[in-house]
Parts: sequence; structure tokens; C-alpha cells
Amino acid sequence: MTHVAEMGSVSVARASRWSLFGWFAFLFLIASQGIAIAISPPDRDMGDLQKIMYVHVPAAWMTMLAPLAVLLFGIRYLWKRREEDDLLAAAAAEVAATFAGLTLLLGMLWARPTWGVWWTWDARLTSTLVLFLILAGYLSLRALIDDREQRAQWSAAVGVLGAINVPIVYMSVRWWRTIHQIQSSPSTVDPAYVLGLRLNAFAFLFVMIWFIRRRYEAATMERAAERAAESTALGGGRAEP
Amino acid sequence: MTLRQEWRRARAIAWKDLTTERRSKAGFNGVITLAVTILVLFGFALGPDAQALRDAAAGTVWLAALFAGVLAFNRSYQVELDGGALEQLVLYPGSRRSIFAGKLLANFAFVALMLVVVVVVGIVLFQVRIPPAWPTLVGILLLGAIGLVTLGTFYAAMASRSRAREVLLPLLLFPMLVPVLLAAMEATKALLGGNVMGDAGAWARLLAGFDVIFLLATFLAFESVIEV
Amino acid sequence: MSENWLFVVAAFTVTWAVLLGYLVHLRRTQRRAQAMLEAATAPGIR
Repeated sequence: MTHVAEMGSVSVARASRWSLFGWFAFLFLIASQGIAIAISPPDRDMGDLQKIMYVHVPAAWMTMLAPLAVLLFGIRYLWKRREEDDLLAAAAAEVAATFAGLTLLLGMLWARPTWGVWWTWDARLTSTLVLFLILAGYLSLRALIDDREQRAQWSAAVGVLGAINVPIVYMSVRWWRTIHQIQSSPSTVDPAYVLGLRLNAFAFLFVMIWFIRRRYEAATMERAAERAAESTALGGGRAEP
Repeated sequence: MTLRQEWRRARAIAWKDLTTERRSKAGFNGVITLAVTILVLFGFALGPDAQALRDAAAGTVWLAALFAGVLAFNRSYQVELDGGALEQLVLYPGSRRSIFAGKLLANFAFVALMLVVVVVVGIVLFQVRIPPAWPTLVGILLLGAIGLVTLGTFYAAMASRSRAREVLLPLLLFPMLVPVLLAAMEATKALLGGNVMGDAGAWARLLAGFDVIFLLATFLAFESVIEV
Repeated sequence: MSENWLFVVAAFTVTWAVLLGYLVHLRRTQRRAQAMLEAATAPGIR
């Protein structure tokens, strides 16, 4: 699978298992979407529009889950100072931003036929946008800091604070809406759709986990390359990764 | 370092920051002028209809203070950065909290004063009637200033030491300020409108809660930020 | 009602576009990291 010098046979086996998982995740997603579309009857009010739920809701759920990973890995980094935790947090943040962007796009595709506008300052949509901006700030910070230790420690602090803020943002935006007496859309799911929703939620979860893993692997490889380059620069002679 | 020593140190840092600011009068006056200019531009954006201006006054005042205030946050680390003094300051144990506290105090004095001026000018420009509950309004300004300054001082500790600091600070800070800004703006809006629904108190309590959360979180996290 | 179908199709299309797009980004990042690693560990680097 990979031809990298230092990866032993164990690593190759692990890499193949993850590739298998990746295939499984995507095939499971296709199957889930197919099943959900096939078995769900049109909704009374929304008609066929209801089917957007099978991508929008799982995307939204992943958008809430991934920052949790950033929070936990960030805390663990500040606690143990292990590089892996920093790289995992960064990978989770990048994937989180992707899912946040997707949630926003799907939210707009839902809003337009439902309310006639591309954007509503709805609590969930708005909080997702703010979360997206927080993640963008996190990623920009990482891009602008060259010192590795500084970058890891600052990212952890920024990531932890940002993740803590997410429920606070959601709460304040929701209250902002109620104060001005805007009705929010009810979020109960008709039991007929629950199976399709659960299948797709799990599918998204598998894909997200695989994304984070792959992004983390690439970051680890980059780090190994940096270390190898450093030791050649310092040691002369044969490169030790 | 005992708490008393820390407090004295924090005060010393705050005093130094403020006097450096005052000696360069351009500092405070420049930021105030900028804030007023921003208010005027918002006036052009939203007006000239008086009602539209009155409705937007509360939010606009806070935004003008925010946009002008970010300049102060990065600058509060400028003196140490220029002199390379930051590394030395950090060496003393227990001094890191007092560095943060000192800068918080200095920035707070700065921003609170600026807010008062901006609100007065805003009331005039946006044709708002002075609310009977104006002491409460001052309280809201102080609470909001605490929130702004806490997060601003924290993120500036990083942004001021990175490349592209002018864009990084707003980029990191503004999304994080959404709860504080919402609460401050809504409380101000309610008060300027006579607080008919009694919302101002609720938002003020929320704002105070946010201040406590963010003060706690930033004090804890500052250690990790300043030591590296 | 038929216009709603358009939005449903668009939603699924956008979803796959984003997922596959990120997949491409992953591949590119991986390839770049691999190249870096091979360049750094290749024998003959002094």
C-alpha cells in the first residue's frame, strides 16, 4: 500500500484495514441513501422535500460531533503534550469545517423552497455559520504559526475555547430569536423516517471517522518527513526518520 | 508569588501600559476618532431615515467600539514585543496570571472609556432619546467591555506574535464574541427603547454569566499561550 | 411539488460533491506528504 521506508508490516496491515473501512463507509452511505429514499413516503406538508433530511440532518450532527473531537484532543494535548493529539485535533478541525460548510449549503437548499429565502437567521443555521468561522480562525492560526510547539499549544487553547463557545453561541442566538418572537421550525421527526435517518447518520459517522483518520495519517507522514529532513541536516550521513 | 504580590505586579503592568498610552496621546485619541468615524459611516449606510437609525443605534455603537477597540488589543503587547521583554516577564512563576490581569485592567480602562464616548456620540448622531435608566446603561457598557476586553486581550496574546496580526486578531476574536455582543447589543437596545418588555435585565444577567465563563477560561488558558 | 425535487437532487449532488471533493483533497495531501517523506529518506541525501 505504502512504500515508506519506516513502515513495518504491522503498519501496512493497519493501512489496509483503514482502506477497507473507507470502502465500507462509502458503500454503506450509498446503500443507506438508497434505502432511505426508497422506503420513505412523501411528507404531508413538505412532500418530496423531506428527503433532504437524509443528508442535512446527518451532516448537522457530524458538525456537532467533530468539534467535540477537537475539544477532547486539545485538552489531552494540553495535558500530555503528545504530538499525536495535536495532529488529531487539527485533522478533526479540518473535517469539521468541511461538514459545517456542507451543513450550511444543505440548510440553504432546504430554506429556499420552504420559506422562499436562501438564508434565515435561524438559530441552528446561524450557529453553524459561527462555528464555521471559529474553525476557519483555528485553521488560519495553524497556517500562520511556523514554530511547531507554539502552533500546537496555541491551537489547543484556541480549539478548546472555541469548542466550549459553540453551545453558548447556539443558546444566545436561539434566545435572540425568541426575544424577537420569531417562531422556529419544529424539529420532531415522523417515526416513518427514523430508520432511514439512523442509517444515514451512521453512514456519515463512518465517513467522518475515516476522513479524520486519513487526514491524521497524512499529517503524521509530513511530520516524519520533517524529522527526517532535520536529522539529515544535523547529522550528515544516513537519514534516520 | 503570593496573591498580594501578583496583584501589585498586575497593577504595575496595567499602569505601565496605560501611561505609555497616555504619553502617546495619539493612541487613545486616534482610536476614539476612528470609532466616531465608523459611527458616521454606519449612519450613511443605514440612514437618513430617523427611525432606521434609532433602531440600529444600539448595535452600531457596539460594532464601532469593537472595530476601533481591536487596534488597542494588539498594541497592548507591542511594548513588550518591541523590547523583547516578554520572555523575561514570563520567567517568574505566578507572574503569567499577573501579566494577563495587568493587560486586562489596562485594556478595560481604555475600552470602557471609549465606549462611553462612543455611546454619547451615538445617541446624538442616531437621534436616540437618553433613556431614563441611563445608570443601568452604564452598567451594561461595563459588563460588555469586560467581555470584549477578556477575549480581546487573550487572542491578542497570540495574534500580536504572529504574522498577519491585523487580520488574525479579528478572525479569531469576532466569532468568539458573538454571545457577548448579542447580549450587550440586545440589552442596550432594550434600554434605549425604554425597556418595555423588561428584557434588559435578563440579557444583562446573561452577559454577566458570559463574562464569568470567559474570564475563567482565558485565565486558565493563558498559561499555555504565554509560556511558548 | 416538482420543483422541490430539484432541490432534493441538488442536495444529494452537493453532498457527494463535497464528500468526493474532500476525498480528492485527502489524496493530494497524502501524496504530497509521501513525496516529502521519500525525498527526505532517500539514500544519497547528504
